[in-house]
Amino acid sequence: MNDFRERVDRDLNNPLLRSNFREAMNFLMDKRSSRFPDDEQLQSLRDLGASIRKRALSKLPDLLEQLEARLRDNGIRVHWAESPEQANQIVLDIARHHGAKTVIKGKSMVSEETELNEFLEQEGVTPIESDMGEYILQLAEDKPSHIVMPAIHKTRQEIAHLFEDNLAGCEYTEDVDALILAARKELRKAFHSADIGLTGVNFMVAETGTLVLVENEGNGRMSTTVPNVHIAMTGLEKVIESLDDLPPLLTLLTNSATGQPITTYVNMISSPRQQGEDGPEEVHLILLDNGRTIPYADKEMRQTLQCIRCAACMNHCPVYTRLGGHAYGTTYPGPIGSILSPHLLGLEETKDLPSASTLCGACSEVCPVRIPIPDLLRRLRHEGVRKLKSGEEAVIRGHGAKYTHTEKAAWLSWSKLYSSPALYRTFALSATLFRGLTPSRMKGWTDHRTLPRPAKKSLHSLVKSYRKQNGASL
Amino acid sequence: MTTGIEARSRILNHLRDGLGDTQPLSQEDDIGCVADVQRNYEERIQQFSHMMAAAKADVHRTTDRLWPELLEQLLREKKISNLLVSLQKEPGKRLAEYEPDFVLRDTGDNPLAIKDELFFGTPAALTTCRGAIAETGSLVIWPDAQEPRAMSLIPPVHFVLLKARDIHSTFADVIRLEGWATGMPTNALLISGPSKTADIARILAYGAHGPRELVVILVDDEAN
Ligand code: SF4
Repeated sequence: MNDFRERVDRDLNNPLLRSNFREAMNFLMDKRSSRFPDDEQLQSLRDLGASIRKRALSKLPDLLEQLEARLRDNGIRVHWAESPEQANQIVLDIARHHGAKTVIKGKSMVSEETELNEFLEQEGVTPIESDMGEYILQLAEDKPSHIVMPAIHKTRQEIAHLFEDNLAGCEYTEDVDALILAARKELRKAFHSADIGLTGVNFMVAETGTLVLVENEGNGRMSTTVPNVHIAMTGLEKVIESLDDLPPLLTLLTNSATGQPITTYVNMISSPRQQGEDGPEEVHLILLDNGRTIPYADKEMRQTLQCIRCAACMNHCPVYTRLGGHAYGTTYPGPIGSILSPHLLGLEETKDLPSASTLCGACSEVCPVRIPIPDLLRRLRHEGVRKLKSGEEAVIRGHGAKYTHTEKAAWLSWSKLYSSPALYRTFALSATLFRGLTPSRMKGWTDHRTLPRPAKKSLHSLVKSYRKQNGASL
Repeated sequence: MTTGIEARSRILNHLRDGLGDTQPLSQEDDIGCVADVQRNYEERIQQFSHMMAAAKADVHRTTDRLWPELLEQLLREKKISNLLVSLQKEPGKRLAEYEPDFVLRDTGDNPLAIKDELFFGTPAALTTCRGAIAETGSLVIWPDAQEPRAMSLIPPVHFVLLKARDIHSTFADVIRLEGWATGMPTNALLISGPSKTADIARILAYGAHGPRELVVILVDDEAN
């Protein structure tokens, strides 16, 4: 994570990547805006989305207990994991119990967060990604660069080569229908024989004990229907209070994410198969904390947990659009990643992320649940450079990770200078008198820009002489 | 390493501590709303058909008397010679009586036993549905033993019989009018078109993992 700046340099200097992302983000932004023609309605819907998520978070522990009780009544087993290691171990224990050799996976960002695939492989269980984007990435031994369209950085040609090299009998073709058909055939075999299906969850309804999954491909449905065991894995913040809360959030999610009025499938699971039905015999839910309880304890940062993972903030972010997702070096890139990852990984590991933003506010303008992302970024920047007062408890792991004495001293001098008129005048005078001595190189700044030289006369002295000549009208 | 029970109580304790002086919000505290659109019977049909067509599903409007004939014709056009259907449900019985020129294959009463057949030998299936949603063009399906989940998922072509009067305006209406909160089935589905993906260079391709074609047979007797 610490070579963030190196990765930024690497990706900024990759013109193909930059134009890919620019085009892809333009495409997603256009799709979204075409779905929200009436601004008044959109703003009201966003108010409602934010209210629903805030309401759920205002009673999160109670809702989680209610959810657990309902799921148990329905026959779904609930597991709690504080860390990625615990979550992975739970999956492995279930796999071992069933003697499972393969786990077929629907898309799950939480399993990316816990690096489940690497773990299962080490333990001799084969994970198979079945979301087309994730499947491509698994073949390429690559990582997602976007949370909704994980393989968005891959070109059609790259994928064609990948399939030619990896899928038996697949010849090089850039015909997308043919490529998808080839992958479909391969994955059908995998679905048919997989022992366990593992997916993420978009929403959990406490009232009825229902897991809701949205998708277009059908791989989520396959993973939750065909194998004998289904494991759902998710962050504990995804709970909502009632079924009535679901339709507005679904509308916000799919329209904000891909500009679709709804996804092809909305899959609502409330129990394992009953007598005579198909579907899995066992359904498990793993609720992951992994640092989420930390922002929960701070009213401002708690808002981070309102997120419904639509990715609109990254699609509209000028920094993400130029960098792509990999430069961030975390599971969740873009604005949401920059406010969430510091809690999951600690500020020590992620100290540059809150600064990887221009604070332009595009993210909070589109966020369907009104998370004030720029405010949270500023807060994290502040926590990163602030020293704790004696007796004060840190609100985040790695608090003060960016604190340096030099920076502290620089800002102290700056504030002295600007709060004392005499000092300020002396400084302005010497800056203009000795402007010829301005260094030509200054670390960081002059790598990409020329350094401005102070003007011959300061604004103050210009105004003074203007007033002398023209009276005091200015 | 903590056990599951310890993890549970530690997480819940963290959350309870973290709540501080937060007061639980109730639905009355919500602000904002969903735009209220009223649609009459014909408008619901129109909106549903329009949204379905936009998602590349086919909608054929017919009557209760004529649908078996229409289905036969559609299968002929698609060169499909056999259809998976539940012969215990009304539509299956109707088709059996009608004696169509394609083979009717019964789902039977053990859906797990037809897994291989579904994967490797079923070109098309016909299911019923509970209703539909006009706003988004979605079918509402609660699979059961006779019409299992896999039936609307694995065969490449999925035919669905929908009665026009079962089209509701919105998903929220369906949840409320049908009292979903009082009892959810094992699996409830909204299906809004054939399976698709844009994961390769954002180019839309159909038939990613589920059916390549979704054909809705809309039975509307009030029109006649
Ligand atoms: S922060 Fe908001 S815009 Fe970004 S992914 Fe989450 S819900 Fe979407």
